Amino acid sequence: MDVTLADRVTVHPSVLCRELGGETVLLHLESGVYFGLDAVGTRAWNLLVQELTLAEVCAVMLDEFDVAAHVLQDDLTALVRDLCEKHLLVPGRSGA
Amino acid sequence: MSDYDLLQFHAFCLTNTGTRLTQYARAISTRVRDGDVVLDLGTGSGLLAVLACRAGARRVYAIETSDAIRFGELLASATEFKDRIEFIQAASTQLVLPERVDAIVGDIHDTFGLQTGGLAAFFDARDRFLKPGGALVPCAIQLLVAPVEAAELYASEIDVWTRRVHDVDLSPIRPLAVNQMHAAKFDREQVLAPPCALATIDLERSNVLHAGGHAVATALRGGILHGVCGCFVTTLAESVVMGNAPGEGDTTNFAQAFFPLNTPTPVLEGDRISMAVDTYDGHVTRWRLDVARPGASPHARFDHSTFGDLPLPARTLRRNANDYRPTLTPRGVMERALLDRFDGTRSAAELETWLREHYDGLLPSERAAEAFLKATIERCG
Repeated sequence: MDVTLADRVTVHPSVLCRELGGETVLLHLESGVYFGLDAVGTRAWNLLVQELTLAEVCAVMLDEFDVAAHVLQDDLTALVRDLCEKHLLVPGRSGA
Repeated sequence: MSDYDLLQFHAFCLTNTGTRLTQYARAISTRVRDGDVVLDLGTGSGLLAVLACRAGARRVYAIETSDAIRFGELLASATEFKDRIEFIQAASTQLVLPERVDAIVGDIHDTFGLQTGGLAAFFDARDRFLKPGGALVPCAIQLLVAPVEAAELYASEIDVWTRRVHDVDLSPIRPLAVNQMHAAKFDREQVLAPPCALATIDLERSNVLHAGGHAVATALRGGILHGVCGCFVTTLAESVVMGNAPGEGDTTNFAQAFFPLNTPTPVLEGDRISMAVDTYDGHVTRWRLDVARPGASPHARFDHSTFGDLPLPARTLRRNANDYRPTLTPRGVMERALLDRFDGTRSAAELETWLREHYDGLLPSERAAEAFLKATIERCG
């Protein structure tokens, strides 16, 4: 699945999420797939669900975390790709 | 369940569930043939196993996880079929049978279709134990929903958590209650619109553990909408059904499910009430509801789930995630070391002493060591 920094995503309508102590557990109610997000993943999720582009999410997170831009971009696109493949996120319209 | 609870529950099931057992007897007599081998899934008190023998089964594997299996053994022992029924206390999903069966019967219903995990158990039994073309009793379950007015129930189950007790505010617990599926008995006067079909589960063909759907009802009268009643109609065999819809529960006398709303909402005759209920085999259930005047946009909207507010420890939920990488807890390390000593040379008393000597930090008393050892022996020794 091709994911770019210009993309936005939305939460799949069958996904339930619950934040617990700074971490998040996602559940796809149709497939029964559970997915855990650590604190950094939770921050990314909370920004992604505001329908920001991945580039906009990166910009916010670069101010908050001590991480190189290319590392964050690679990690974020990998996470979003994984979540889309598990049908937890749905690729949305491009922000470009 | 304690023995007392099991007795109460099975007394109810055997004597106070309307025509349920008559319907099962009818279905079994049409689906079980002379000489069949039958699996009774969740046999409980064993009555369906006896009915299968009466219909001609030459052997019945009667499976039950709970201690109620003792009731089944006692009841069957007083019949002429005691040598035909083999009671097995185990989870069916963990079981290997020596042969495939001609029919599977089972009553593992709850208020809204099957018990939690019931679909997984039923599909697994069908796929691993049933001969091709074999019979399933039941073979289909239809889920239904209806909007309900239930002021007394709402007060006792939801708004009880708005009170103050000895100057302690109970309201922090209310979100847990309103995101929980409750059991309740509704009568026909409480429904604001007749039950609508939500989904049908084809037990013969489906492999999907998700059940649910969407239904729209038109209020037949005005009132206060407190939530959704969930109920079911099960097809046991052709023309043999049972269910628990309000006012039509004479085949089961079962309670219905109640899915409450956070805010009771006034409705007028003619209002459109849109209800969506989804469940993953009863483990997690979500219910959404919109209320709209005819031709207008919804003026009230609700989205509840048992996933959102249950007081589960974070660790419990995280461990369900598919990407969770477990490591042994200190108790797990202790259990592994104990299991390594289950080699047939050490007595329970010696093992208990060893536990006390090595794990007194985890097992603070003799009683704790004894309980841990007995539980481990029961599972593995």
